[in-house]
Amino acid sequence: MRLWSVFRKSIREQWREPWGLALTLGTAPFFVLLYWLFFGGTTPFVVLVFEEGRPSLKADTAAKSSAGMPSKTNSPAASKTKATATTVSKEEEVSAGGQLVKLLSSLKRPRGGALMKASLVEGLAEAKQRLTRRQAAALVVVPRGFLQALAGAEATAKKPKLRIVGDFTDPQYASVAVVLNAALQRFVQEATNTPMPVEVAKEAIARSDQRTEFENYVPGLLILSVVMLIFSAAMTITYEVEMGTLRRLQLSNLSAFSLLLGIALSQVLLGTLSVLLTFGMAAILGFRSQGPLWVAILVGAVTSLSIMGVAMIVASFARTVTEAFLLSNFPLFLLMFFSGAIRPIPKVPLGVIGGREIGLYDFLQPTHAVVALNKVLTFGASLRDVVFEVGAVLVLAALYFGVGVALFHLRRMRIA
Amino acid sequence: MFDAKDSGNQEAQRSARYTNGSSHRAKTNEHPPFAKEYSPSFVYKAEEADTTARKKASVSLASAVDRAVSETWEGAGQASMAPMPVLDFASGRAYAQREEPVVAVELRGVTKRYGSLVAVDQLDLAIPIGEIFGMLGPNGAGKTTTIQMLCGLLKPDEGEIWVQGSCLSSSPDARRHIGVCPQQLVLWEKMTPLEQLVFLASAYDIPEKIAHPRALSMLKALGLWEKRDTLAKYLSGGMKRRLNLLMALIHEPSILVLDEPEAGLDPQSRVLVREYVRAWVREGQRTVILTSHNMDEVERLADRVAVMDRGQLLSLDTPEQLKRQHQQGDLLEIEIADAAQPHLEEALFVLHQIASDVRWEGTIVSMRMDSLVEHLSLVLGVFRRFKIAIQAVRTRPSTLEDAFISLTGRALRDE
Repeated sequence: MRLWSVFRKSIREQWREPWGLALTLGTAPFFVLLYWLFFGGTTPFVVLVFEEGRPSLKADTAAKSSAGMPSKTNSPAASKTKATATTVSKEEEVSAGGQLVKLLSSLKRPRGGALMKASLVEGLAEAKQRLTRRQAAALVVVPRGFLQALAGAEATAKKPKLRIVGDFTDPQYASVAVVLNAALQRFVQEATNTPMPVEVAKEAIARSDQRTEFENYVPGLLILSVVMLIFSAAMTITYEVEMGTLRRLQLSNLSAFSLLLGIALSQVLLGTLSVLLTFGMAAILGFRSQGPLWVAILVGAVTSLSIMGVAMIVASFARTVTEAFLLSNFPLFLLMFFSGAIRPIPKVPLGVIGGREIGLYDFLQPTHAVVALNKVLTFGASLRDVVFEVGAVLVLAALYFGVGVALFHLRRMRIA
Repeated sequence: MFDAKDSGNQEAQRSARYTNGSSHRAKTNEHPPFAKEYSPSFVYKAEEADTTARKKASVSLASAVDRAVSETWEGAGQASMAPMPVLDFASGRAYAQREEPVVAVELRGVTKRYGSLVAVDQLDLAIPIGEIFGMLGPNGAGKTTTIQMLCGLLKPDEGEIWVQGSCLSSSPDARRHIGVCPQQLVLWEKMTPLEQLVFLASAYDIPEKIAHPRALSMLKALGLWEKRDTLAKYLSGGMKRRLNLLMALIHEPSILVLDEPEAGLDPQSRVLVREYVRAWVREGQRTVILTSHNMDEVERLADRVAVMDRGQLLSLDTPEQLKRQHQQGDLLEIEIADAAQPHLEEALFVLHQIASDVRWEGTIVSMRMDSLVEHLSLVLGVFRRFKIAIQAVRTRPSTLEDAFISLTGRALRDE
């Protein structure tokens, strides 16, 4: 009865705090919307092509200018416009760079839409600057007289060299470099009319090739919506401490377990609602789960429960709601960055249990949730396929919950 | 009420003779036998103590318990002729093991330290059922620590605390007997008064079907019926205070701890709360422990008052007795027409011979003296003799605050 009362009270209080409720429920769906707006489902990679020795437009413009023709090249804006030109003129079409741009621009994603947005650039230095600013994912440098060199490549010892330049720390570079490598090989084959003796084909696991960039972000956002519960749960618990109401409950002999579980269950309900809303928003914007959605929601709910223990640990050390907010940032970042929710991280192996390698980050609940969600949403896995991950999250939920209750009792409810 | 027939012990049988004993006592003008028996135990404790103050406290404690129990007994005899309660204070623990104790709270040699600071020092205290007990003391006196210990929120480093016959350290459930109304508002701002009361009752395992009507009736009694469905954050300060009090009572405790109960209340609410508390005590076997800095409030409500300072009990008695024991006389204030009187200093010298604490500030000359009525003409004669014109004369009888200041001094205290 006590547990139910605490649960009901906690739900009432959450419901009557519209801003807090809106933040808890709406943050992840809002971020899904933002990601969709920014990436729109299919975002082509920006690729620059620089051809060495190609006559510069600057020379033409200077000649026109000296002949008394009006020119805008003196202004910096005009020069910027030149540098970022994306069109290919008829003259350029016959050049190697122009042909390469045409080829790259014709590449399509499996679900349609351009794979790359390629353009010719005139200055190497400026192209590199754009790479540094991450305004482009990669730069292909075509050497002087490339097509002629290809024609006589067998006769000469020195092979023409195509370079794919980029910022190796840019996550887009790794993806685009692979695609560019294949595209350049095709370009050379077509230019030299020499078919490859073998065929190299890409093959996607399940329908992973069908995923858009936007869809790739959705599991991470789902994990974020769940991990964000640390804030609301820790602050809800600490509110009782700060307002002194915990003292009242202490006098009633209400146990730390009943109090914390009651609050935790109400937060899990909110977390599950948040997951549902996030999926709903994603679905409206074109997200398609390859596996059963209810399994993904179950993973979200179980992860919410497991996060509660962390919130309790935070609440054990916080005296005020502000302190709880500040302290919650630490586990939030830990759980987001080291669980692989944002980007995959290398495993730090600790040992083998039951034939499975256990790593350091396996003690973070979202690690398993990320794997489970990935399996379900991308590879179409069923509940049976994610039993281990769900089980691991539940075990960690029990572990963290136990530690949280013990710490909270020790620090806040024990009679000293 | 304790049933003597069920007890089977000697004291019970002996006291049963006094079931109708009010007339008997009136004739003999004696205390009932149990009163004689428990007094020595407190005297014995007093002998163990080092300070004179504690001796005084223990002796006055004994007399107060004696009086309170006698009144309980007398009332019971007159009203329902119920069997006498039995007290065995001689053996210290005996009454605590009985099924129906007559002492609500007892502290035995209770000490609490925070590092090197001794917040409460070997405190002995017994508060009988049915008493409104006041605790006074400057900041840092140890009141709050004492209250927290007897509520079971702090563990004493030494000593024992017994609540309604159960030792708190071995029976933490005894905390259920206590309801605490803290000075600060301890409410759930986003819940209505009705929801809060029902929720808190559920924390005490009181089913909703019982808690709900009880909460409604309590809200009605303290004028909160109209606001029963309004969120607490929208209630006025006075309403919140009243709700704060009800929160302490929803589980029907037998001991109510009130910390500054009238702080922040308007005069109407003060009267309402005071009457409600008095009525609550009268309703049954209930006890109130009251801490306050407001001496008037304590004087008006409390049957007995304990004055604490530096963790020790300095004095314990009825407000009247305290005033009598520690009075410095009634206060007389004389307002003179002009501070630049040529013979004022001579007059003050003479006044020092007949009054104490003579002070002169601007046009006000104040002094304290016993039997003000007798000496007033003498004082006025001094002013007449030195040709000092009087504008006004004001008198104020000795108050509990005077006794308090006398016991604890005028020096400011840190928290």
